[in-house]
Parts: sequence; structure tokens; C-alpha cells
Amino acid sequence: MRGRRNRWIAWSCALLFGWATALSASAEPVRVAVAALVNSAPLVVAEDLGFFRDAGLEVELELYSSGRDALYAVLEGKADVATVAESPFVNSIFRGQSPCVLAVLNLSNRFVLIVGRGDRGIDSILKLRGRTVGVTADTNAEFFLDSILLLHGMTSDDVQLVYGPPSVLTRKIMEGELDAITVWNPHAAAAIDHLGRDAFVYTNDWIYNMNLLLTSTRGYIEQHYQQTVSFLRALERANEAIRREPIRTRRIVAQALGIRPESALWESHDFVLSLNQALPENLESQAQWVVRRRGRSETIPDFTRYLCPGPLSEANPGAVTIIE
Amino acid sequence: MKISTRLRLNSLLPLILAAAIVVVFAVSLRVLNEATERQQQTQDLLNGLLELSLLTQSHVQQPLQRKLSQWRLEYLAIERILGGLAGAGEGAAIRQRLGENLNTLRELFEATAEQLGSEPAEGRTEQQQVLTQRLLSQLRIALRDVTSDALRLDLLVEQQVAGVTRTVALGVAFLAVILAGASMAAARRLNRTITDGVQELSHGAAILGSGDLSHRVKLEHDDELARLGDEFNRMAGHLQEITVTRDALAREVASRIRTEQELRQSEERFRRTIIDAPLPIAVHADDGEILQLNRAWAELSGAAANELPTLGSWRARVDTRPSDRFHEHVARSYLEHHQDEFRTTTADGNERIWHFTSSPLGALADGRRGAVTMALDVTERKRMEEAMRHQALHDALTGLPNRAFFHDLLQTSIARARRDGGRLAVLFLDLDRFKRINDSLGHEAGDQLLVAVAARLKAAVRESDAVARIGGDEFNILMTELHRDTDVVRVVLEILDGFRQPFVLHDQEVHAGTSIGIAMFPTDADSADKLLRNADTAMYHAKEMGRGCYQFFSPQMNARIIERVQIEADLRGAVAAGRMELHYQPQFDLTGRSLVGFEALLRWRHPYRGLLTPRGFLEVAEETGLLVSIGSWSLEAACREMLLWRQAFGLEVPVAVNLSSRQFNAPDLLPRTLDILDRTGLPPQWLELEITEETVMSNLDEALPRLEALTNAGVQLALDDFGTGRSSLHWLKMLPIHRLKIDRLFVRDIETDPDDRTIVQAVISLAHQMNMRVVAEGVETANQLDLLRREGCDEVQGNFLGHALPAERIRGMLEAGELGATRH
Repeated sequence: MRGRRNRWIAWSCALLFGWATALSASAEPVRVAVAALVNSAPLVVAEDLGFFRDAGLEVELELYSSGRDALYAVLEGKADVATVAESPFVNSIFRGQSPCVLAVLNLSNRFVLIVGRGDRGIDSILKLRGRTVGVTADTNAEFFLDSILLLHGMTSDDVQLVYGPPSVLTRKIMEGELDAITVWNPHAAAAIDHLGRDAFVYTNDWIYNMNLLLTSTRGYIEQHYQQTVSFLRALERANEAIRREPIRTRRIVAQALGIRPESALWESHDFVLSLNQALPENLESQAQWVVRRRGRSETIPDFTRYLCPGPLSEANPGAVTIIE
Repeated sequence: MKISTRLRLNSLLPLILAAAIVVVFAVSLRVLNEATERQQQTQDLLNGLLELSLLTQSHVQQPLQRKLSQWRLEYLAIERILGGLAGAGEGAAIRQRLGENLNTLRELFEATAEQLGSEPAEGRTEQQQVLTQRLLSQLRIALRDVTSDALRLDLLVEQQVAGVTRTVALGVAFLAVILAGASMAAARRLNRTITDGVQELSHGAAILGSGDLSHRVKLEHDDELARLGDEFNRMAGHLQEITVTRDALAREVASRIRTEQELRQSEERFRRTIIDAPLPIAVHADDGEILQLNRAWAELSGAAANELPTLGSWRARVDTRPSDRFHEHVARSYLEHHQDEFRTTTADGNERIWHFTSSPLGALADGRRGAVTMALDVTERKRMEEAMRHQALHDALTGLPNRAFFHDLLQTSIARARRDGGRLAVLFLDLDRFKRINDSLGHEAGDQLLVAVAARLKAAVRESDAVARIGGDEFNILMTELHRDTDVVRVVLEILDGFRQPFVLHDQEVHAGTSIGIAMFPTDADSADKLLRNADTAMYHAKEMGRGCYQFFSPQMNARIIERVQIEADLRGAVAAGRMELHYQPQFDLTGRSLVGFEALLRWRHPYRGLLTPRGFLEVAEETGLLVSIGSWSLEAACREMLLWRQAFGLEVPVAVNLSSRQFNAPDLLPRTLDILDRTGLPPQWLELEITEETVMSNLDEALPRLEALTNAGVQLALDDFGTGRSSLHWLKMLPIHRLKIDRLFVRDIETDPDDRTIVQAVISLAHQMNMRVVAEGVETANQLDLLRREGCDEVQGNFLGHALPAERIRGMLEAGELGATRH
């Protein structure tokens, strides 16, 4: 009896020591700038369920209204990791910055919606011609709007683009300042709710697949390599939890983002960490759009240089299928 | 559970195992088939997607309507395959996404085809080219996604198949292992149950066989072996009981045999011990049978063993004393160990002393009680003891008790005398001139003299007296059983008489005298030492008076003895010399004051002392035996005188004559009385005999027939001195007494002492109730007479009425008519 108790004490001391060592090693918290999107769910879940803590990480999540702002935070050194869609990522590279993709966090094909005011006669994409359409610059939403306009034989010149943050755009369409907006959830949902039966909603699930990227900087990753591996492993655990307990995790995410759980559109997301060939394809497509929009002849960068598959291939070797 | 049941179940186990494996196989096969089918479908799906991918590439490069149609057909085929795929969980999710991606692919392909088909490549606008490029890019991504999903699905199905296969293999193996294990365990358990049981039984049997019958087997299961074990234990129990009984019996038998042997040996030893013992030993039963006696006992008895069948027959041959104690000894011998000493005398006169030791032997086989008696011949020892004791207590020269012995004897006698109220006399003797004899004739002669003196002293004393030599020429004599003072004197005189004869010592006649001092118990002293001292003192007084004298320690005693001796000497001649005479006192009737009789009163006319009443000599007369003859004389004289007066004066009154105790108790009282009456011719009714109350009451049993005989002879009887004795009313009633005489003591104080008067009243009343007359004697005054009359007294006698006078004077008075004679 006494022997058993002594053994327990010894084990407890060893564990405490190990934990203290781990803490000292990772004493520096991982600052994560999170785009306030349902797609960012794995980060929220991992934090809420304590997977980061289990991995010996201290993680600070900070929500940003767009992935673009989140990426800026990383590039400005305010954060270590950010979630961001392809467009802001591509734009930052064109601006000469060097973010690095750790993994594709999420692939979503109904990410961006176009909400128009039906009461102003907008009942199709074609009716947008000449109308004021709000969009957030340098985001996937802008790329989406561009693709949709092209698909319908128009260009962005055919509409009056109004740029602004998604929340501002949403308020403006509600107040009637804009005829339509191109935003993502939860802003789209808010606008639809407000316009009610007057809302015209358009989405396309094949013209564009949005990859939400987990990005950092190469410098940070090299300095915090094992920490990053642990970080990714915690996210893998979160994805597993989302697959196993969809209702519970959706509630966690909805609460964190301040939206209703049913509006999370859970089923349209494929929460699998990956790095595959579709990413450079998409990035190149966006890059061409950027080049065309800027009207100057710039070479398309080699996006594989902006990929950091090392930590992911260590955390989950099967998830990396891209060849650098 | 029964072993047979378990055996049957065990045999069924392989069947169950086989059946289970078959079932598992069947189920697994079914599952496997389904999985394989799904795998085939995913393979078809993959093949279809490869085709679709090829067609897409082909169409993009060279758009043709045919290719478009093929693409669409291929797409439908893929969609159908996908629709046919079933599944759940992750597979379903992949399939759903695959469907969506396929849809996306189709949309993209259609949109792309539309773009490609609308215008030739060179005729397209920039916008169209951008769009086409963007569509193609998305198309590639979509193709990749679809293919990826299909591969994931294929992988999943493959995994499922592999899982099923593994599960089946593992399941079958597990089942087989489980069942085999269970079967083995059951068999092993069964085997152990059987082998353990058999082993336990075998072990139990071995232990039982080795002789430990207390061992029991322990079988825990409830099966055939357990029942066999129970039977085994029961059998062992029976066997143990039988063995225990047999062993106990054997032990008992062995013990009895041993006991019997020991008993026989013990008996034999005992018998031999008894037979060979030098001590007389007899074993006897409480009915008196002698069960065994040894040679020594036979020798003690002076008879052969077979002549002594019982203690009775033994006692007939051997006189055993004390006899009554021997009876008691034998009776006690059956109850307790005890010892006694007996003297025996055999028929041939052999006298021995035995120390008998008897011990009870308890109950004999026949229920009688037995005892063993041993006798130890202590004759010699006793004789030696006796001799030693004698030596210690006796004077070696004369054989007389020595000073110590005498002292003891004296003390014992004093104690007895004190208890019985008896008297003792201690005589202290000293030989006169012994020293001179010793010196002149030698010590030997002196010794001879002492021996001779001892012999003469012993001859002189009575049997009850003890003579002791207390040293030198001094002797002591103890006299007990003294009735009279003269008993002492008589012995003393006898001793002195004996010394008058000369002793012959060495053929020479030697005269040796002695002086005797006498001390009396209890008058002179009350202890042995004082008595001896006083006797010694008296002896010196005797020596002073001259040799050959004796002297009492007390002067009064000396005087009285001298007087008594004188009286005795005088009395002896008095009767013969006619110095005894009778005086007669008249008795009167109180009513008529007439003469009713005379009492004859004895008087001794002593030559020097004058006329003596009986009080002065009666004791001596009685002690010397002279009283009987005096009494006879008195009776005869009174009868003659009365007859004379009767004849001369026609006097018809009786004469009362006193009878002494010795006279009354003399055996010839009646014949002697009748002889006197006969000789004198006086009619018996005129003779009244006065007997004291004490004489009658001291021996009432003998007195009564005498009184009756006298009454029957016609003699009148009066009870004298009534009131002084211890008469019982009961006896008084029975006595044939005619008159009661109230003692003069009561009459004397009748006037002054109310008690005496009460006594007189009571006596008168009593006598009257018993039809007796009462005569009061010693009436001295008129008042006394008056009182007696008033109390109803019948007759009186006393000096107030008439003195006791010699016969001549009475005769004279009768002649003168001074006494009024009356009829009795």
C-alpha cells in the first residue's frame, strides 16, 4: 500500500517536472490571427477543447474580420500564424512580402455569396450591370465577383464597385447605399436576414473553391519548428473531433464567432489539413487575375516557394502531396 | 455438476466450436462479398474517372461533339456507379463530397465546353480567354478533387475489406482460441476434478491403510466422486468405530488379563507373604469365617489351621482378654485400621500378650466384608516393660512400691476419695533401733530385717491397703475404704502385734519395734504431701510416747480413738456382765390421756461413766458388731418384761423396741424375732418394732418384703424419726406401717418455728390420710402437748408426760396404778 503510494508520488513528480520543462520550452505563446470565418473552426475547437494545451502550447487566438487583416498581422509581426484565403496571400506576395503556407486548413466551395436588393430589381447577376456592388478589395470575394461577372459576360467595369470591409458593406446594403454586396458569412447571412424576401442571393459552387490557408513566415517556422509541428498535430485532433462530434463542435464555433449554429453551413466544409497541387493551381489563377486587374505585365511567381510543407509532413506525412 | 454431464458437455465443445466457426465464416463471407463488391464498384468508379479525365483533356484540346457526348455518357456511368455505392460513416461523407465534386466537375466541363464551343480559340475575346483559362484551372482542380475522393473511397473500401478480412481471420482465430481454451479449460478442470478426487481418495485410502482411521477425504464438488468420498468417509467412520470398539475391547481384555495375572501374582505373593510371615496373620470375613491363616497364627493358637475355620472356633481354643474388647476389635476391623493389645491363654496354659493390628480389606467377591489381622507377640516386651516399670516404682529389696509410686498412689486415692466422699489414712512407720541392728549384724541382716518387716506389714494390712518402703527403715501405708476410725486402729494394732514376734536374722532372734504416725484425709490434710508430712509428724509424736506406739496427727482423733477403744473393750463385756438394761417410757393417747404403750430404751450402766444412752456407744456397738447381740438381748428383754406386766397387771399395751439398721438388715431378722416372741410367749401384736425412716428408705427394695413379712407375722411397725429422711409419698403409701413417729426435733420447736409446725401439720395430715396413727415424741411442755392436740396428733410421748424409767420403777408405778393402762 505504502509502496504503491510512493510510486504514485514519484510518477506525479516526474510528470510535473516534464510539464514544467515543456512549459519553459514553449514559454513563448503562439499568437494566432484568426479570420472570423466558420472555415477557421479547427483553431477554435482545438483551443476550446484544450488540444493546444495538451500539446504543451500556449496559444492566443485573436479574431480578425477578414483573412487579409489576419495575414497583415503576421506580416507586421503582431501575430505568428494567420488564417487567410488565397487572394490576400497572393496579393501580399505581389507586394513583395513572403508569407509561407503551412497547410490548407479548409476547402470551401460556397464561401462567397452575392446578396442583392431584390426590391431594386436585382433578380439575377445580369441585373448587376451598372449597379453599386460592394466588395472587400484584395479578397477572394473580389476574385469570386470577378469570376461570376466574367461567367455572365461582364467585367468589373460593368458594375460600380464599392470597396470596404465586409461589415461596412453589409450595413450599407441594409441601409440601401449599395445594390449588392459580395461578402462571406457571417456577413452575407446578416444581410440576407435583414433584407428578408427582398434579398437576392447568388452563389456558385463550381466556379471557385476557396482554400483557407494556415500561414506564417518562414523565419518563424524555422525558429519554432517543433512548436509548429505540435500546433498542426493539435489541429489534426480538432479536425478529428469535428468529424466525430459535428454538433458539439459546431456549437463551440458558433459561440466563438457570435453566429447561430445553423448558419455555420458545416456540411460544405471539408476539414482536412492538406497541401496538394490544387493550391498552386488556384494561386496561379488568382495571380493571373491580379496581374490582369493591375494591368501591368508581371511574371506569375512560383508559389511553391511560398509553401512550407515540412511541419505538416512531419505532423501527418500523408497530407502533403505537393512536390516542391 | 455431475462428472458424466460435464464429460458430455466437454465432448460437445468441438461441435460447438465447429458450428461457431462455420457461422462466423458464413457471416464473414457475406460481409466480405459485400466489401469486395464495393471495391469492384470503386474500381469501376476510378476507371470511369480516368476515362472522364482523358475525355476532358481530349475535349479541351480538340473540342468535338462526339467527345462531349462520350464525356456525358461516361459521367452518367460514373454517377450511376456512385449511386450504387452504399456505406456509412466516413465513406458516406466522401461519397457525398465526391458527388458534389462530380457535379462541380460537370458544371465546369459544361461551362468550359460552352466557352470552347462558342468561338474558335483565335476568335475569343480576352475576357473569354480569362474565363476559359480560369475554368480550365478549376476543371483541373475539380478533376483532381474527384479523383482524389475516388481514391480515398477506394482506399477506404480497401481498408474495409482488409478490416473485414482481418476481423474474420481474427474472429475465427479468436473464437477458435476461445473455444479451444474453454474446451481445454473444461477438460482440464474436469480432469483435475477427477484426478484430484481420485488422488484425494487414493491418498485417503493409503492413509486409512496405514492405520490412521481418523482421516477423512475432502471433495469439494457435488459430483459422483464427492458421493464416493462421502461413502469413503462413512466407511472410514464405521471402520474407525469398529476399530475403536475392537481396540477398546482388546485393551480391556488385555487389561483384564494383566489385572488378573497381577491379581493372581499379588494374591500369590500375599499368600506366600502371609504363610511365610513370622507374624501370625489371619484373614477373616465379617461373618467370622477365617479365610486364611498362616503357620504363625496356628502356632499362636496351639492348633492346626484346619481346626480353626472361624474366629469363634479360634476363641474357643484361645482365651483372649479383655474379651469384650476383642469382640469390639474384630467388629471394627472391617471398618477401619486399628490396633489393640490382648492377652491370650492357650489350652496348654501358654499365656502371651499380643499386639493386634487389623485393617479392612473391603468388600469380598461374595459381598462380605473382609479384614486382615496381624498379631505381634509383645509378651517379652511387656514383661520387660512391666519389670522396668516395677523397678522404677518398687523397692528392689522388698518389692514394695517405692516413694514415687506411693506418692502417685496416694494422689490417685485422694482424688477418688474426694470424688466419692471417702476417707483415707496414711500411716508413717519407722523401725525402732534399726540402725543398731544394721551396725551390729551387718547390712545384710539389715536388709533381711527390712524384707521381713515388709512381709509382716503386708500380712497385717487389709487387701485394699498399700504398703510402701520409702527409704531406709521407713515405710508408708495407705489405707482406703475406711468405714470407721477403728478400722485404722485395728490395722495399726495388728501391725504392732506383728512386731511383738521376734525376727530371726542369721539364726538370731531380733526384736524390732516400730512407731506409727497416722494422718487422716480429709480431716488432717487434703493433699498427698501434707498428709505424708502430718503422718511423719504424728510418727515423731508416737516415738516420743515410747517405742511401739501409734499416734494420730489430730489430738481429738487420738482422744476419740482412745475412748472408742475403751468403750469397745468395755462393751464387749457389758452384755455378758448384765450391765445393759432397758428403760421404758410410756406413751399416751392425746384424747383420753390414757396409756397406749411403752417404748423400750437401751441403757448401759458403765462402771465408771455411769448410765449411758445408746448415743454414747451405739456407733461402737454397731462397728464392732456387738449391736446385733445387744439388739437381740433388748428385744428379748422387752418382750419378757411386757409379758410379765401383761400377766401381772393385765396390761394390754404394746412395747416398742428400736431396731438398728444392722439388725433390720440382718438376714435372720424375722426368724430371730419370731423365735424371741415364741420363747417369751408375747403375742406379736404387742410388739412394735421401730425402724428409722432412713433405714427403710436407704434400701427400700429389701426393706419392703421384710416389713411385709413382719406385718404378716403380726408385729406392729412404726416409722421412727419421721420427717428427717427422704421419704417418698409413693413408697410411704406402700409401706405396711402402723404408726409414724414425729421426730423430737420438730416437736421441740413447734411453738416457735412455724416451719416445724407446718411440717408437723403435714405429717399428721398425711398419716391420717394413709390410716396411720401419729405419735409425737419428745414432748416437754404443756404448750407442745396442747399444740399437738390441736393439730390432731394421736399419741404423745415425752418427759412432760412420763420419763423413761427402769422396769422396776414402771412395775412399781403399775402396781400403784399411776399409769392409766388402756386398751390399745
